Amino acid sequence: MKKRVVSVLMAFAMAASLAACGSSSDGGSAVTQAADDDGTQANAIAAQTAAAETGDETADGIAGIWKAAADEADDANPGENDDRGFKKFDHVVEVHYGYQVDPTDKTLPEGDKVDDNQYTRYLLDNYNIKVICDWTAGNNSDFQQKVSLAIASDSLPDAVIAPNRNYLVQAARAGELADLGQVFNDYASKQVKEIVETTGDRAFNNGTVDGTFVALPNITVDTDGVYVYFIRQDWLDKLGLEAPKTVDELEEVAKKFMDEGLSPDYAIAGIDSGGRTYSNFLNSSNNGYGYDAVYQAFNATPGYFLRDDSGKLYWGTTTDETKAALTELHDWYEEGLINPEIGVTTNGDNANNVKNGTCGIFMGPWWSLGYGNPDSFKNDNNADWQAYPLYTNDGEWNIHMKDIGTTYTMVNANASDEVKQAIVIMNNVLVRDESIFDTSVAIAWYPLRNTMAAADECEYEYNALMDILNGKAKVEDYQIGGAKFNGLYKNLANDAATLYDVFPEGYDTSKGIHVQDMDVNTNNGQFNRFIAILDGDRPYATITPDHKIYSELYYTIDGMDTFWTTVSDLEDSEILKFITGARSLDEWDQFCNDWHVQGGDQILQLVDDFLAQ
Amino acid sequence: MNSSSIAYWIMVLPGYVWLFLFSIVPMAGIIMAFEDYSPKKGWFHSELVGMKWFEYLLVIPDAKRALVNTLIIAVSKVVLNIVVPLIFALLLNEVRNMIFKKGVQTIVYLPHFISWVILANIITNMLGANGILNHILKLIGHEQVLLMTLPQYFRQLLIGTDVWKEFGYNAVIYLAALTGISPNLYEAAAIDGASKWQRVWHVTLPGLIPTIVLLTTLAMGNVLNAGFDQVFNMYNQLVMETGDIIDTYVYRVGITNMQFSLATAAGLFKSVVSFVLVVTSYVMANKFADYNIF
Repeated sequence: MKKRVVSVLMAFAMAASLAACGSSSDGGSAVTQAADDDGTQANAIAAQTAAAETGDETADGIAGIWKAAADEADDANPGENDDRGFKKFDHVVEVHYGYQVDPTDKTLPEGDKVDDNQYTRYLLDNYNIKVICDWTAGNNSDFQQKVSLAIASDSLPDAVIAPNRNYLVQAARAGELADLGQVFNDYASKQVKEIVETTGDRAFNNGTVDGTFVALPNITVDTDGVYVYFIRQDWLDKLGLEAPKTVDELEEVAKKFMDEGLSPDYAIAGIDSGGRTYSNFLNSSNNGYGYDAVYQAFNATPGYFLRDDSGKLYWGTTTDETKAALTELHDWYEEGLINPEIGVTTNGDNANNVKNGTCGIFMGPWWSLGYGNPDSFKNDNNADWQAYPLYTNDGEWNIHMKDIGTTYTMVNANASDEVKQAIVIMNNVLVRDESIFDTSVAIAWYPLRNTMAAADECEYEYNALMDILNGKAKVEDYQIGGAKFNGLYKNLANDAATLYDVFPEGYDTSKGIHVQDMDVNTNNGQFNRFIAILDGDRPYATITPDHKIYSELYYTIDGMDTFWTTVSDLEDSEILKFITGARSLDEWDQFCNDWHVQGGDQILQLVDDFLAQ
Repeated sequence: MNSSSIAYWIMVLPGYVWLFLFSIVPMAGIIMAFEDYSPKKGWFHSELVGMKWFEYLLVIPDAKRALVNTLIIAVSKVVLNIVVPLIFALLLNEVRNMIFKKGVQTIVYLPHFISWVILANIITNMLGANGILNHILKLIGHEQVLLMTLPQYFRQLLIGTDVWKEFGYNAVIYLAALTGISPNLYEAAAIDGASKWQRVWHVTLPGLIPTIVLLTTLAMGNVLNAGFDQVFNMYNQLVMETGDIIDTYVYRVGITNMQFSLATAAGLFKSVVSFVLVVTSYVMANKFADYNIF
């Protein structure tokens, strides 16, 4: 009898094995939802369905109703209320949300919680907005899984941040998202509007799916997608070498680093498991430890939709340029210059040798210095990392331009008007008041934290801070009311005020910005920020790139997902194999052919048709 | 049902409730495999597309690759997880020193309780550039070998570590069956002049046959279960071609890329094949070994 029960159980368990995946897509709620659709109850849904159907009619969407920042009244000063973008509700408005939290964070005081901390209390006390966190996830893939299942079962909380555009499109096409066009126009602060306007139409387009503005886009600095390489200047000086300009020169220096015993294991760090060696059109920025800089130096832009001289659309990966870049990377791998465990290490182990001072070269965007490798400076006060562009052999600097941002604040179609207003106001408050918050509690604990920054914020700050260091401007100029104070650059007031926590008075900038001369520990958070801006972003702030390369498209379109799943899987695994030599580059043509046949051609056709509209 | 059996029914009731909630109710979700599932429309209003997803699965190279890998890995695991514990149990059975016997049994039993999340990290580190394997290779002057990056060894690694982890646990069943073999048979065989080896061959093994058949039959249902926990935690892009199995493929397609219908179709395909295998093995066990599981 016992055996029998076991067997019956096993048989059923087997037969139901995937059905478990569908188990959280609760049939009941889906039916209720469909019933709502038939009725007239939810205006938001009806409006959105109409918008989706009529398409072109509302194509102007938010742009059509937008009131320019210049026409809005000035915002209230930080910490104060007004009656629009910073209004205090006359009763408590509850906002439910799902959020990703960092389980290793130690900055949250004892007793505080994700929805009860200094930031949430600030919102409650000043704006009567009470946030309630329905669920959390501890890491990126868990969070994506939860969002994915919430969309599949139509059970999104009032607001949640979509990790990338695919989630936004899925949720919007499923009719689960509220139209935010009107409320965003009515309640976005002047400052937020100014930031949105620095992008031209791109922020509007980015938050729009099928003609409806369905999400607050995240607007990050352009330099997040500008890849440079970082090198230990102190090692270069010790060996009497010049900073490399081209790939060949970089290779020479890498070899010397190894020969001289400075880098016993490998000279150039690489990506962790699950990473990519280049950022693609869907994740077009922030590819730390990728080799984007190398691809760019070969005039290759893998992972982007590009047009050739005749205007024909093509895929950036399956090109001779990409092959040339991979050939170089493979040579480096063979010579032991790059981490032999590229793509295999986990949990950030790929950065270990950068931290412990045995690897002197890696690549990434500006923040990779400072924010990205704080331990490196703490462990060794002489770790003089500097950033440089990597040029083509013709001496040109190509940069690949990113999408506006990568994440989106989505709002449930059934959310009330007050909830929608509250979400817009929360965003206003973060943008305006982030610089006056005590950020010793990580800012990530701010509910629904959404980065909005002017596209050129880092370059503007670079120039402003250098002006202060050079004595051309004073700290006071950048404080509220000062001659050069500009609310658009939200962190500048605080950065100027703390500049001399890190730099000695009368710092001589003619020799550059070097860690040896700075105070790493007194205000470590600001030290990291200054290293990131003044060293990490120096190339983009001071050198004009020769080519800025945009993808023709930065998101997946209807009908493309199934093909994309297949070819992106193929691409991710094969590219890494070409680098390690697990697959010979003689088979490159075969790979390109596979990519096109297995769905790539259909994708290009779909994108071409879509762009032609 | 008579009054004396009511107590037993109550005992199994929680099990049935669990089974109903988590295995029977979600079965309705397989309808997703036959429609172009849209969360908004739900299970009952999404557009039906017939066998579209199954046809698509047949032409995706990734899906074929996942099926082949799954079969190779799972069949090897099924066979070795029957044979290795059997040999181990027979060897251990011959040990006369009870302290040594129990000690060994306890030690090999332990890995079963370590989660794959932890074990996969331990293995990855041991075989990594700075792991114990490469330290030893360095000492004997051999060049570095990064096992986790080599697709040609990845399946063996999966199978080997799984067998290592589970053989102690699986041997317990055989050890229990061994105690059930009457000592009289051994004594009679010894009197008839059977050698030690002959006693194993003619007494011990025949006594274990029902257990072996039972375990084999039950294992057939696992022929398409190559072990999601293990593979998901151990694989990486470099070993995808030999390491990607149906379950990890379904995870990537369904959860990461939100192709719910395609993922359901892949999962359903797997379940149907497993179901056929379970039924077949049941019939065969009945016919050839005269053994009824149900």
